[in-house]
Amino acid sequence: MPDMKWGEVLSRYDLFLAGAAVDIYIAVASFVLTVLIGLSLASMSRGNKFSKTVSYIIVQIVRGAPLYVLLLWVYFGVSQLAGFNIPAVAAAIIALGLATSGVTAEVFRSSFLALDKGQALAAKSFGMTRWQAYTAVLFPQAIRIALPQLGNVFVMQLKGATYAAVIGVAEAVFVAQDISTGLFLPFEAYGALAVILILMAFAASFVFTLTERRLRIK
Amino acid sequence: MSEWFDKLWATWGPVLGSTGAISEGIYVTLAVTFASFGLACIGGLILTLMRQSGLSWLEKVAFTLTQVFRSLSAYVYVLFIYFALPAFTGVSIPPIMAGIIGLTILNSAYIAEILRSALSSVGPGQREAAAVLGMTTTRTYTDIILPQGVRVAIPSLVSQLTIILKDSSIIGVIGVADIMYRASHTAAKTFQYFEYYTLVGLMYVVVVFIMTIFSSWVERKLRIP
Repeated sequence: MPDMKWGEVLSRYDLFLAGAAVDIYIAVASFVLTVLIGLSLASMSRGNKFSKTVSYIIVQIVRGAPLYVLLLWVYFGVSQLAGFNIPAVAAAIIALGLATSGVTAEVFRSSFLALDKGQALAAKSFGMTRWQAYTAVLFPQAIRIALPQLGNVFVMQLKGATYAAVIGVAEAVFVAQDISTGLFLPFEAYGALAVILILMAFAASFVFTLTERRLRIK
Repeated sequence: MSEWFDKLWATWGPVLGSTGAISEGIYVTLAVTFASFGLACIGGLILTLMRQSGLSWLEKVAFTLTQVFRSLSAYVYVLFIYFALPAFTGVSIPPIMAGIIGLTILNSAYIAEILRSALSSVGPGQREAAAVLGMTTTRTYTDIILPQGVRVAIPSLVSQLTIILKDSSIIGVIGVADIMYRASHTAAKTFQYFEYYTLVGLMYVVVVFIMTIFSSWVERKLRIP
């Protein structure tokens, strides 16, 4: 066993924390994006035949394309097509938001399906508009059903955020790569990285479990 | 109209022409995917059996391993196994092996969860009946629980297979020449990033779509009437 220089790596904890903060930022932003896209796709799949087909095709595409491909596609491909450079962090957020939107759409679709039919009918008989029925009656119930699975989606975003290192975003993996090559301490650098990422994923699941418990209808 | 078409063809013609060269990488992609899937099924089964062993310490170990394994991304696994482990052990690992090992560890955890929920869907009456017939625990598993449980697990297993296929695209970063790696290189040579990444993205979409169709066919075929 070679002698380990954990001190060298641990003394640079501030770099790791800064990197982890970027990961969390990308995860949260792309989570918001995936929820928005997922909700739109889910409501499209409840519409007429045309919007159903469109939503089906989009879901199949975002489900089939790997995150890594989407990331490079947005950062290099779409930038080239659009004629301006999309900033790396924005590209990561867009790619990650797209990559999980198929899963999120499915989560929302099944959550709305799980609601009792009487809820929508009752809202209608109270004279609520479609929008009112969604925001006041259906969505608050559906989100509670969706929450455990949205927690899984958030952990996916957190894991996916690490891919942003390939396009040069200075998040935790990027920091570890930097330390690994700069000091030639790959084991210590990536070991520290793994511990940080595992703790982050655990913390995220914990937060979602707490939220779930708070929101539960008694 | 025809001028527009000529321009489009001038851009996309060479891209479509190189489809063959890029799709040679599909063997690498599929080999890594299926090898990781097969090994992850074994790993997942071991974790599941550990969790149902009845020994509380072993169950705790299996639970912790499952939680830890699934908190890292395929990218981090590949970097850790390819760069960090050799520095620790002194033995270098070929990039393709690093990819397979990483995807195996990551997906063992997911497959363990799939198998656990599938095996627990087999009614307790089945286990009791096997016990009454005097079957050993091993025989109960191989003849009664697994054949019924695996049937339930198949749709989720195929969807996990598509996830492995997609995650395998990252092994290009350590230089394994899969379809993504080949597309990236051609794109960098010709500066046609949008075209080549769209092409390789569609290749993944098509393979995943075929797998999805296959999965619903198998599901229908295996359903216990």
